Amino acid sequence: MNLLCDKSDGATSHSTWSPKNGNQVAGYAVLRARSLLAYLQGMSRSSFRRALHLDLLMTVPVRVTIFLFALLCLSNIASATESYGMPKLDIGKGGQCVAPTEWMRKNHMKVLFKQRDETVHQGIRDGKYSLKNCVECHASLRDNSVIGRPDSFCEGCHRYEAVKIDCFECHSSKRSTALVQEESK
Amino acid sequence: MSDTNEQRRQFLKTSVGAAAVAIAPGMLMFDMARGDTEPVSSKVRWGMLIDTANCADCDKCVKACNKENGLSGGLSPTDSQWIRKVELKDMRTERSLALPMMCQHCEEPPCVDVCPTGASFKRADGIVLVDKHLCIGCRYCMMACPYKARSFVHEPLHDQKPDVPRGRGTVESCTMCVQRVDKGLQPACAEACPNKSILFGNLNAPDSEIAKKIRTVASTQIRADLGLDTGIRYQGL
Repeated sequence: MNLLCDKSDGATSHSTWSPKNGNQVAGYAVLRARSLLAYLQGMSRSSFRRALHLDLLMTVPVRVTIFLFALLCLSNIASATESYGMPKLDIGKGGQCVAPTEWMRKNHMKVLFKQRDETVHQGIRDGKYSLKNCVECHASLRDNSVIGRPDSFCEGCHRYEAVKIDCFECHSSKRSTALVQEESK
Repeated sequence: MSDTNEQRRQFLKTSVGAAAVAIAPGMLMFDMARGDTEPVSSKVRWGMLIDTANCADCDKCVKACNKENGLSGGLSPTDSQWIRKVELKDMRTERSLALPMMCQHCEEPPCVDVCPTGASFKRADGIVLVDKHLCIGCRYCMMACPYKARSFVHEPLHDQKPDVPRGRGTVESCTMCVQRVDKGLQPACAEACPNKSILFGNLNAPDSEIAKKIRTVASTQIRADLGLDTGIRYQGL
């Protein structure tokens, strides 16, 4: 309880936590424990239900419980957006490259398609949103590739989102400078 | 009265300024995405003049093409060939000659006419290409081409060149090394020819070497009767 209290104070400015409420919650917890104990001691199912019904009538503790539950959920959501289940990627050069990271996560396919058509049909080859540029910076330093492993730059997120990526059936997934070095060997 | 006008002007100035600031990021993004290079223009028409008399008994142009574009170089029916050496022999006089044969980069390309998806297209500067993002692999263009210049990729490919994406299920052909031409280089075959038999240049520029040469020496288009106006011309056939 104390732990939750600290967390809510730190995380949300509109917390209405007070020692009074804390005592009530503690009392409520004792009540719940008692009723559970009674149930375990052989009380009939219907009498336990009656005990629960009584709990529900005590509106203040119920409110506090709901408030606490909501706080718990919020703190879970906050931590989920940061780390829960998100792929950890092996990125050659991380951080912002041609546009902010969040924007690129959402829109990279649009700019890639636009640049692709300009390059193929109009011969404009120095745009910054080229697939070759992406690979050049963000390929792993271990295998110089953006696909092939669960933590590869492209494949990591595409697996997470379950979006098929077919760019690299035709396009090279390897850093071109690394390919030049391989050839010269 | 003039005071009110002054205030109005001031208000208009600031609101226009605020609007400009609000719009600026979007415009900036658009400009950057376009890049600095101009789109290719129809003022240029890339072409080649191939001197068959000088064409030696070698296949360096074919090898250079395979290396530049990451082709296997195999000769089975399912291997891609973008350029091949063709031997001609006049059965009556027994005069024989060899020449490199590839996509002729027609002004009126039949492959573009028949393509159902618009994947086969002619760039403004006369280079005929396949947009493999649109190609569905129907191979109509292969049947339409009188020069047998196109190949279909039958097998999955690996380790393609970064500048030459190729993939299974699409049709491909000589791109006149478009990735080199855009950088200001000449195609790999023209560069590799030991006798300089392949002359690459802009047919539309009156003072280019190729334009001067086709004005002075006899050159022919292969299957000129089809009226395709090929970009590749042969000398000494």
